[in-house]
Amino acid sequence: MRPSPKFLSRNFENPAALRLEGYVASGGTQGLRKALGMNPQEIIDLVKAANLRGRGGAGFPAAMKWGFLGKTQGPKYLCVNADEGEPATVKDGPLMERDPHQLLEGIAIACRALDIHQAYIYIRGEFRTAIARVESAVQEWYAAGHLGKGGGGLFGSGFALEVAVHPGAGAYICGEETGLLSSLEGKKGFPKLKPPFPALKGLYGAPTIVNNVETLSCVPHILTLGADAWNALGTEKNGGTKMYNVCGHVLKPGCRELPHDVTLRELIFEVGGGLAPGRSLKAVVPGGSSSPVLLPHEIDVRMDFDSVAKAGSMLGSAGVIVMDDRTSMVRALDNLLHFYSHESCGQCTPCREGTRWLYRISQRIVAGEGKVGDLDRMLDICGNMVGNTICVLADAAAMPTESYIRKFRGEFEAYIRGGKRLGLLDGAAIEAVSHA
Amino acid sequence: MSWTLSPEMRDRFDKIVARYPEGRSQSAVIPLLHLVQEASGGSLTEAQQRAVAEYLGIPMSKVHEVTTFYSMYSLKPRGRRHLLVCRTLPCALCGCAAVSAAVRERLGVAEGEVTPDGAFSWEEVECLNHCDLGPVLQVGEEVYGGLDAAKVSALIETWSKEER
Amino acid sequence: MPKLTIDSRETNVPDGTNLIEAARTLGVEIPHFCYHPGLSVAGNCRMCLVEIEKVPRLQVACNTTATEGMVVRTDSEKVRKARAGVMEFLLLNHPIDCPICDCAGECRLQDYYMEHDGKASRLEEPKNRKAKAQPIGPHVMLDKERCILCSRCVRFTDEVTRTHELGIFGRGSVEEIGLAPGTSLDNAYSGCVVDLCPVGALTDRDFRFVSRPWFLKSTDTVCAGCATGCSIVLDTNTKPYNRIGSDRAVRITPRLNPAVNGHWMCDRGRYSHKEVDRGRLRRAKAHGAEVSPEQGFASLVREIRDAMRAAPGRAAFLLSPGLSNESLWALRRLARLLGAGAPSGGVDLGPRGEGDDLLMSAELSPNVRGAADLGLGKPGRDLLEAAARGAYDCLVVVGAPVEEPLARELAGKLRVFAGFYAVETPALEHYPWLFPLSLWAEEDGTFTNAKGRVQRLRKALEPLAGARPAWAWARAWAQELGLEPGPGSAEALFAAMAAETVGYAGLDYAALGDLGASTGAAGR
Repeated sequence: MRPSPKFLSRNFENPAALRLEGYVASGGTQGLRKALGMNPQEIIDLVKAANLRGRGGAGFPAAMKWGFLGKTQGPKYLCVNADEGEPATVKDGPLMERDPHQLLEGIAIACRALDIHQAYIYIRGEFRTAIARVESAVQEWYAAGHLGKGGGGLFGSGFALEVAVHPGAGAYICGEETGLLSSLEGKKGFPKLKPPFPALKGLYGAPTIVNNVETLSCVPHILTLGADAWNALGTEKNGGTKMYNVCGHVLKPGCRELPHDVTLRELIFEVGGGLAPGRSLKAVVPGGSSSPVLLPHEIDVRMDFDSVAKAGSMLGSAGVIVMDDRTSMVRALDNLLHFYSHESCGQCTPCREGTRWLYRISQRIVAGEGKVGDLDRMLDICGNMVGNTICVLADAAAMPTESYIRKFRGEFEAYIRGGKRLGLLDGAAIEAVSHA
Repeated sequence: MSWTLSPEMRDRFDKIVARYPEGRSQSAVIPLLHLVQEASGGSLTEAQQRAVAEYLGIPMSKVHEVTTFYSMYSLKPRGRRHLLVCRTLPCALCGCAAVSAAVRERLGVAEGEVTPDGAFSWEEVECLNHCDLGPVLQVGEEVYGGLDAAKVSALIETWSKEER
Repeated sequence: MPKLTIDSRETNVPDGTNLIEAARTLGVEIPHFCYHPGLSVAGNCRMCLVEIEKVPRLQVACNTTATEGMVVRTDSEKVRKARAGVMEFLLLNHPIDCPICDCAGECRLQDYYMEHDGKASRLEEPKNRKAKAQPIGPHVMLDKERCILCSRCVRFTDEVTRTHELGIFGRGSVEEIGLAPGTSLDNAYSGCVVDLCPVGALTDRDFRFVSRPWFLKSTDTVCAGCATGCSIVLDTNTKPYNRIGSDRAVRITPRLNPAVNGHWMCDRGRYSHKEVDRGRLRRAKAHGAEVSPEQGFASLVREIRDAMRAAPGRAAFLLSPGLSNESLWALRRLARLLGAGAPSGGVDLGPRGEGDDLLMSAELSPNVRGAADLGLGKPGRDLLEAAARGAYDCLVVVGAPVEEPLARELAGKLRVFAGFYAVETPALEHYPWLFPLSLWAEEDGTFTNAKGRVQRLRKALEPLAGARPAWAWARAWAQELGLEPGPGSAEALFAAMAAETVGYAGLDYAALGDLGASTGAAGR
């Protein structure tokens, strides 16, 4: 494992950086100043050359998304997706709480590149501290004249930019980019029909780019380091460092910045401190709860978007959930199915009814009244959901369902045949799990 | 029961609406409802929703859709401290069941109910994304991690003392 | 005008056409719930998913615009599986209320189940329970369990009436359609949400448990409630054993007419079917005493003939803008034949009511414009006052409202004061001569609406015993006197009328079809 350079997290132990002058003293705003001297297309080309992949979950190349932005004489918007909600994901919260000015700098560069003059930072409502600190940072930029009218624009460049913080109110679906836009418009977080895509018709019907907090926080570093250095920190087509959170059954859970070529094994056993004494690895989810589960023999995979995809899962939001041999996969899936059915917005038929049905069947299995046919039925239900919905929350529910059942079929069947609770979900086991 | 917008609250409303483009004041409905809920002991009445609707010039149906969709709004009374106990997988793997059980036992009320002195209420919520600290409990702005039954007890004891 | 291929057949459609409408041009009906051409696109039911070449995922037809060269399949294996999946999800928590649900027989869930599903339920867990049988307004009943959350009703109250009574509250599979707190669904078009609801979640309180739809006969006709003349379907009972009571006409629903009412109609018109069977005039009077209509009529004709011989020109006809063009024209002809003065169409006499800027006209008579176009615009008030002053010996009122004190006065002063009416009112007590008329549901003919559109009435029921259309009375009158009776059918009357009326010359009765046609006459 390579040494861990600190770019995104360099100010995490530096409370002085919460103030703009402390941020500047730590080296901040260099990237923005450089960007203000470039022409917009140059900035976009640089981000493209740096292979910055969207860090909200999809891993879509950020510069390609920027390239889709519609041309218009009217307003365009940048919406920052700070609705961190994917279970196991911890990165955007710390980035906002500990280095809010870094995010603002990334926002400013992006807006400059895209000729956008209004940005909204949509922060999930429960992130009270992040909201307060980002709000405070925004106020400092306004006070210094970098934002707003009449202050000479960003660092005296004349580029006018308005930034506002907008809180969510508790809905995972608002992390879906068009669900976020609906919520920003003051409605329920119902994702919008696509096409048209937000880049053409987004917030208030205007061309809009939605970017994740971490994605934008990378941008100042791409400007200061240059594409080559940024790429060198990562792997082919996956440039830069990445924030990873390791949690679950590890001794040193936490969110850390690492080069993009760290392996899952390294994350679990070196960075995450490994398992509790006497325990062995049973399953690990690499990219937030929606990503397909991986087995112990599949963990020698580099944690970049393309490698994890090739391994049959997804890097997603890089939230690693480690499950040791105490874990009941049946109970684990049941826990997640409650999550998805609770968070389904309910707008479209397959997800609204399908997530609830999957959970109901899972509950019946957990209660000891399952039948072997239930497993194939759950897979069939997933098949009727995926591809037929307005957004991918249905897929997010289907992927764990399909992967847990397929990879732990024996355990599920044993649980069903056994008719009683085998194994528990949390730390204290009452019975050993036995696999037929 | 009706509820009127105080001049001071109206002033705060105006400042928030100003963040959005002309004609897009509906966007402010979420932050406005947060303001009202916080100022009213943690829950919202029908009259308050109506006042926000009238201020924004949008139908009551649209405000009520918002308050019934998003988890943070409550249309039933909440305690002065409302405990959020995370129950999603990473916290579950770390023992959140014990946290819920301890909360339920120490407070003596079920999820969604308020203690007789109005001091506490609690509910299980989905991922709060502090999975590095699991299991997690949040009250207001404060997030508490690495909990077990004993730590939960201690926290509730401290809060109960502050209440008196 | 893109050309595209749907199920291996080509079609050309206007720019901006969605695939549901494009498929319709080929006679292909893509199943759907939430799509409605009169409302914004929601795309939430997912029933209209279709396969488009070169597009990996199925797409909803309602939100996909036809483009040049697009190749669509609505019947592939993938589409069939998706549809069956959607049907299963919709039926999962849907209560099988069919035996007690008014929507049975006109329910999309039922129809699509038979066409696209047909499988038994796989649900082994309890269904979601929600509130049932909740009256949410004077005319509408809500069953939250039956609702499939298509949002048509919400979009209607947001976009068409802009009254915003309805919303979808909550989140996920427990979300519910409901009233915004503090509201009632009492706007003037509330009944339209029942038409819109593809299932039995929203039902009409007026029609609740009245009849199964398959016992009803449906007739395409025109509403007679005001001068707008919305296109409607009138449902009448065909089975004497159908437990409806004595009403023959049991329901009115709107019919699509892009030139008049679009997809909608108001509640005032919708519930006007009750007047077809209640409060009707079912008797005749001659010389103040009850007689059979035929005998009394012969007496009337003789009495007026004698009066006009004694004093020519002292008879007048007061007509009503509730009469069809055919009746108005036939009576105008009769008046001329008898040597009476030009009739008044009574357009000033009302009744009047509430009007709005959607569909409701303040003019509550359906043929005010027709009466004006036929030259009958002279105020009825003038004619009544003249009669009270003694200008006439005989006054024949056909359908026009006369206040009770005036009716009593005229009955005392005139030699013959006769009334032809469809509906009983207290004033009729004072008429010495009284004869029953049929009304709009019992006649063929035409009305001309306020905007000059001529639309056909279609006869759905036989007139009540002894009653006839006003034109039939006019014809019988001429026959009784040995005069040329004139055309004997609505079609023939229309042809005769159109030939000599400004603006109607090019119109053909048969060609008026279901949607009518505009006159060339400028409005007066």
